[in-house]
Amino acid sequence: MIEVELFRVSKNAWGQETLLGVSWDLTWWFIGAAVLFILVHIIYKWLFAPKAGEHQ
Amino acid sequence: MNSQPIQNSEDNAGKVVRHKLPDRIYHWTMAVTVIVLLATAFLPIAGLKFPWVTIHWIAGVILGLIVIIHIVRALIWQERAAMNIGLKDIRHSLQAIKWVLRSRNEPPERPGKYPLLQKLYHHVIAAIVLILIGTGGLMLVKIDTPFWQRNPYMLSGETWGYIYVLHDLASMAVLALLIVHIYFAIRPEKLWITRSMILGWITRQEYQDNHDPEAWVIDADK
Repeated sequence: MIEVELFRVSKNAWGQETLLGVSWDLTWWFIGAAVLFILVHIIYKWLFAPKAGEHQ
Repeated sequence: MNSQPIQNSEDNAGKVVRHKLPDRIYHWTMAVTVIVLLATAFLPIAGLKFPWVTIHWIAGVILGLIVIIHIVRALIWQERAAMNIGLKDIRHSLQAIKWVLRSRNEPPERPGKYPLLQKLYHHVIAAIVLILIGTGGLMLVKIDTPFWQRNPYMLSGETWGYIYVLHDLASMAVLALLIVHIYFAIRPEKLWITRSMILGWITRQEYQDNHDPEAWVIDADK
């Protein structure tokens, strides 16, 4: 099971949490989504996309 | 609606101007600033330590200024209808889906100057860049610059947290969209569009093959 922290937080001297932003680990999910999109598009163009003049 | 034909010019050598010089300067200036902003944001996180803050905020201010110039130019001097999404785009998309699924024999009708996916990409990246400029602009009050002293207490810590969350998410989205943008820019069948963003023109043949001359009217007299 992969656990991803969504936010970066800091704790002050009294233990109160302050939101600092989004976890940097999420960057890899965005990069991964872009790479996955590209791979799916390459496969689509390679195997499924109609070629010019295919139907004509 | 895309009811208005878009005027443009064709030069004597049969080249059709797709992107005028100011638009190309804007595009490539934005490209450089976005790459600098992403590099100065993510390389320090990846472990490459250098004084990134000054480079980052200056690049951000330049990006903000050129985006303002682009918005003014687009609203006053450019043909806004070229970027509007209308019923024609929806019809072309349905035709494209049917063509891909082999339930339609002819390719989809050609679009005007910009196909639907280019318009969608533009609108999504525009919204994200505006979020980045807005949140980044607010963050400028937290740093010392030659123009003002920092004031980190202008907003509450909680509010700053939400601003950072928005800025972080938008910057990650820009990174992903930039990767996809470069992928399409270097695909062999899209190189004519990339060339037009460098040199400004497409050939008459590319115009006829890829655009609807009634939706994107070129003015041969210019």
